[in-house]
Amino acid sequence: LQTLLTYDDDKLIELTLRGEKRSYEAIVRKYEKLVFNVVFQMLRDDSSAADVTQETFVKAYKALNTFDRKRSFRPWLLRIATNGALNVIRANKPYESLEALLEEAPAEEPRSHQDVEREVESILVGERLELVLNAMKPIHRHVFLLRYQRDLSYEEISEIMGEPVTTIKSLLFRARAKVREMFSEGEALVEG
Amino acid sequence: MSVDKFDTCSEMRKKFDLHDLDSASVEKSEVTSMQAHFEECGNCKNWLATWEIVKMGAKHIADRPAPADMVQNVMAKLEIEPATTSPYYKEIIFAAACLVVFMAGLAVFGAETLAEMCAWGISFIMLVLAQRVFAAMRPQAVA
Repeated sequence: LQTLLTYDDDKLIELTLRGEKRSYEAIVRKYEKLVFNVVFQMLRDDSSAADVTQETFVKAYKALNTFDRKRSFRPWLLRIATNGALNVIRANKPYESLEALLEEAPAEEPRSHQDVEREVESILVGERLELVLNAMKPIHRHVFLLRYQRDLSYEEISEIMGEPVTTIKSLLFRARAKVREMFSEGEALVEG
Repeated sequence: MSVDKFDTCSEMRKKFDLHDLDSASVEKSEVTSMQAHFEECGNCKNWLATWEIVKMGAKHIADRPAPADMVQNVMAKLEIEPATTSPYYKEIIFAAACLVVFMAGLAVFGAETLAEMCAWGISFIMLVLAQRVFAAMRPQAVA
């Protein structure tokens, strides 16, 4: 397995298609953390994220022969994961449109004195940023993190989301504006 | 800060944002002048610095570890539900292509009688099935 882990995606896919399941195990090991975290950021729930991650790898395996090997594997895999997470979001509120769900900001929880203190005392930008992102709409959070945490290109994000690059840029523009606005509010809180 | 100044700052920030998203959207000379403005203007300097911190911050969001049994669970699931991904998909495609060619041949050259055509068709299908059975009997290279 250690040798397999040194192979690139294309080689591992080729071996898997030839029936070598151990090669697929190497693919799962390589991407489990990425897929789990991308899904977690959408669902904010460990157990659901684990289920979706597992399903993602099973679906990817079954559809591997349809994967165009001239393209990059990572966006293809993340697209399956994103669709899986969207299905969970939809299943939780079956009577609302997906668009409405994606545009829905999580309900703001009443902030206790300790919460405010924690926010004020938080010195790590990443930690504070995570608080800001948690309050954002899932679609904005997803696009923002794919771009700035995972360093994916607009084209890759477009492939993952199944939306044109122009839509991705516009989503990112709004996400950035929101992050900035909320982050500045946090800064003001720290300074005040 | 005057209203005019505020408008300029806000406009420039918006433009710089667009440039950050799509470098081709703003002229290079304009970018240089915007950068010069940000250096001079105290408010904009902070604005830019905060944004850089936020972008960097995204990289510092700690990843959670994937569940320890993830790989085992996935592999176990694949054992239970054998993949529809057949290692012999190329052979299936080849057989399907052969059938199409055969049918096209029949259509072009024709057959003397309907019975003759059916006999040819059945023998061809049996050939393809035999090939498929032999292919499935081949040992799979599973580690």
